[in-house]
Amino acid sequence: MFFLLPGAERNRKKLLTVLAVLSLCVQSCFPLSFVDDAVHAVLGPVMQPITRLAGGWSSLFQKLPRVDEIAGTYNSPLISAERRFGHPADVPGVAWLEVPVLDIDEGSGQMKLAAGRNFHLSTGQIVAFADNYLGRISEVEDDIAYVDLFNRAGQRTGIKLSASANTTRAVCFGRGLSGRAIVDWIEDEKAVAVQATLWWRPRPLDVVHLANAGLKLGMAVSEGSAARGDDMFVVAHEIPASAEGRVYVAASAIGDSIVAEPIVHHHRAQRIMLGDAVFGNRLVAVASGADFTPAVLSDHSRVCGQVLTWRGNWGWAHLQQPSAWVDKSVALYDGGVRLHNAGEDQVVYTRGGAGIPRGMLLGDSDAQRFVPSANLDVWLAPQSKGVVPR
Amino acid sequence: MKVRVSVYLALALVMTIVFPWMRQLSFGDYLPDAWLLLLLLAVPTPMPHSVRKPIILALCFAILRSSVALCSPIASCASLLAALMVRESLTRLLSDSLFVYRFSSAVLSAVPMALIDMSVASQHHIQLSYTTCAWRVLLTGLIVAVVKRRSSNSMFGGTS
Repeated sequence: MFFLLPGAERNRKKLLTVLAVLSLCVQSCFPLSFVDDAVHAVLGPVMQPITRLAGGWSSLFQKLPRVDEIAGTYNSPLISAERRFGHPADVPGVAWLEVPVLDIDEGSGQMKLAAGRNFHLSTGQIVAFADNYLGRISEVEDDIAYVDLFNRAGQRTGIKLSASANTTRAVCFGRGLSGRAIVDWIEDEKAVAVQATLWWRPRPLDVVHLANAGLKLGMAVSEGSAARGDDMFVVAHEIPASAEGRVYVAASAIGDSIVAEPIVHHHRAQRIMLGDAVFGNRLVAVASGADFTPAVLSDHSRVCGQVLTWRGNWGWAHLQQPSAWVDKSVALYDGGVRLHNAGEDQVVYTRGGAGIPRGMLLGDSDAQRFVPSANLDVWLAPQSKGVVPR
Repeated sequence: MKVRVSVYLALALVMTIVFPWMRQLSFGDYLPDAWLLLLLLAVPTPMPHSVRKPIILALCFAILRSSVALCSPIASCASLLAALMVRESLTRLLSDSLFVYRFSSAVLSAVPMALIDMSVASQHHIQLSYTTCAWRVLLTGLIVAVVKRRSSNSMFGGTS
């Protein structure tokens, strides 16, 4: 027994081993991205050739499409439709600036736009989508602007109520998270009726002709009980699904351009292996020389799936069928754009958010997961943060 | 006969190239993890006093596994080392002379990998069912229990 370590020393080594393994397990289950990035930076050059080798072997037994066409510029039908549906009525002396939306927090009533002072936006400008009045720009930075939606707590907006032949003026008072905006300070209360249309009313310093743009806040609905004395009119309103992509800002003076395009990075990619040794054929390994961490993988403009992890110049993407994108996809229909609901048979597009560009084609909602070809594309919309769920 | 570490590494490399294709076969989802299986078969029970070689083997297997899987090298490493640790603890408590003991300790040593794989799957919103994991764990236990019939020391110059 002379060669054995003393008990204390053995126990110390055992404890250290257990702690090391436990910390590895913790890192696996609750990963710190910088640790994984460092490991991938060191081991990536070793791992990628092995992946390519395994991919080469697998492809001998897989029927894989090998399309070598070069994808052209992708013009999204969704974006075209949003532009067609969303542009408010033209009025003299006003230009509508098209600005991409970064994110919308309907609860707190604020919207963030991907353009600011550099796009000649300024505070007080009104923001609309089609005939929907959304709010006013409250704060402007160089490349970002914040919009206070009319339902933001404390936000007061002049409105005009019209039901049948009666019209009266009132003020809409936003309540934020407490509930829908209240219709208050009604000039002629007798003129108010449930389902009355609430039209936006310009302030004295707004361009006069904006009153003719036909912008509305929504419909008046009754809330509370007259018996308890807490009845009131509130605004029934929902931000159109199309407005999650772009909105229109009224401007009486404009810069060089009236369209602020969202930033979208794009790069070619190659499939290096279809299938994963743990999770099966739901994953694909791709390589790309992109100088950004991509968010989504597409095959000639059609989305294959989200990129799950990126290891320097290659990574893994999750192949998903279009129906798996419920809540993250939108569909075109006759009257505009709406969120895609499960079970509906439609052509669906990406909704945006989490770095995924808006308006990329996902395909028919009932289509199966498809096998990507050898030449692919990776995409990132760095500004795209998405919409806070309701 | 002493089987050198390099032989196991070469075997693991071949397996790394072939296994992703096998996983895509119709029954592929239920196949046990090849690197875990090889590690459990390669490392003797009980482990030698110097655990350097088993750890090196586990690290190399982890890198190979992560090359062809979404799991990070750290996750693979944690899975393989945890498997060795669990099996070593159990081997010191149970004899491996009976099939049921060998089966139990192999099954339990495959559980950490199943849990970590499920955790990785849930982090990335990938579906990995409990049934699939259970099959992988049970098959790992079965193969190890059948193949590894008695205490061996094959990798590090033991008797056989």
